Amino acid sequence: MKEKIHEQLSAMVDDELSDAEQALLIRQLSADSGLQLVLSRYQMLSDALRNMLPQQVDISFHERVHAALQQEDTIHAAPPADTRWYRPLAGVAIAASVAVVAVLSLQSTREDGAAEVQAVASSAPAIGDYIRAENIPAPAASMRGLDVYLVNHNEYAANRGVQGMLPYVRIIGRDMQPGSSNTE
Amino acid sequence: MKWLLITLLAATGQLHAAESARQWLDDMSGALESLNYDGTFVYFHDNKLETMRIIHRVDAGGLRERLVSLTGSAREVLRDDKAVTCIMPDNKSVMVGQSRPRQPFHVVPRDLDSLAANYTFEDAGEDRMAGYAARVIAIKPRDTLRYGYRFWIDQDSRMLLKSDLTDVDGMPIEQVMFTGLSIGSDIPGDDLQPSLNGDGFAWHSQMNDRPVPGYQDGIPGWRVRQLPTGFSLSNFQHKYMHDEQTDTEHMVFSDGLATVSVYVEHAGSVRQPLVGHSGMGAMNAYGVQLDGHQITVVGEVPADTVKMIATSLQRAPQTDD
Repeated sequence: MKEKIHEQLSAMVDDELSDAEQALLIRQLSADSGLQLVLSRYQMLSDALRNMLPQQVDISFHERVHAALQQEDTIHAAPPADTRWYRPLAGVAIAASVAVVAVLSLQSTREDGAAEVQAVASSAPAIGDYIRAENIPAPAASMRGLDVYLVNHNEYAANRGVQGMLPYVRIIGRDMQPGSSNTE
Repeated sequence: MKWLLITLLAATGQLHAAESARQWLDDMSGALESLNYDGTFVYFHDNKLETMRIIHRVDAGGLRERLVSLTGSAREVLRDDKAVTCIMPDNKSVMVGQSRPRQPFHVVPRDLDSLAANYTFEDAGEDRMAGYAARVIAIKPRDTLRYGYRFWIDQDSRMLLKSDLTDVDGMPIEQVMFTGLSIGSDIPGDDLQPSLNGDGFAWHSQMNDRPVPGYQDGIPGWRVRQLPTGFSLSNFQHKYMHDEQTDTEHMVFSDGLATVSVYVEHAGSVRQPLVGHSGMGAMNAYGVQLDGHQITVVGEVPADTVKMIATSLQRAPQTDD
């Protein structure tokens, strides 16, 4: 039984599950943090096979999460005054959220050429611990800055009638992530 | 003659199916608003899974809702008839916005043609979801500039059980699915209280959805040159989004189902300006700076749509700002 679920997790990562199978699996995932961790690992493995991993992520990063969590106060994604400095970060993940996410070593280069290494930490391993390298080419400022717009926008959204309060799940959810279409 | 009859019957059948689908959607939006319910659901997006709980109560005192994350940070959203409050312990802030009355999904006849030009409505049959017998209703976009939806609706209460937000090929981008749901039960007041009281947090108010002195309400100072087919300006206001010194021009564009907000502010007044694209699940945002202004476009539409709108904004000729 367990083996079958793992096969399904692997299939889901490869987009090979039907909608019905995926719905059932999501239901099981929601109640099983162990399965969520397995899915996260399958995701990493899949991306590794496709050479999509950020350069400095290693397979033991879950363990490093806990260690780095102790230093959460020292975590900063970027100086607020100038968001341009980490544009050269293509291929590096910044997973941000509350008591959050991944421990990734990331190397950036300031405009003046000085290199700097920082860590982004997290509290507990979860599916969101790992963000695909393809989704993180060039971040803007902290995406949390968008909350003010999202909250305001939700109240005007025409489709609130068919989704009730559910648009607010995006506010409750994790940070918005810089997207692959960023061309700035 | 025979083929003509068959064609007519098929067309009539499709029309009835579309009307039936719209009736289901209308009933569902009414149920979401008027029923008491307490449910746990999963939110699946970008290969991430999050679990949340929603509690919704309507009584003589009005509407009260509470949405709380059960995984990760204990973020909460509280909503009643007057305000929507977001408690964000991760950055120790509380954001209070103005609540607006919800519009049920009631498509008036004059809207049908414009909606039908951009979407198709389908009754996709029956299914079982979260222990309930469900009807599946699909809304499909006709182009790549907007998303589609698939709803699983409880056949008895008409409550939403699962929703998929889909791309033009019908592939899910975001999924929300109840894993446990109690409908029609009494909701204790304690369940609607926030688990955090916001002490020691920074409080931000967005209660200022009111005209800014010196501006004539109703006339945007900016215009979008490339607006997707079917979208039109549905709301416009000058408002104070961040504080009482920073004027924000807010334009809302909608095709009747999808909505895009355009925010224009003086660039220096935005502490964390978005430049380029950002997104989470189906929500996309695109920011540009133009002529000393920060333009931020957000909406539940594809990334290309917010980019097209943001990059085609220009000052309206009549503005003297």
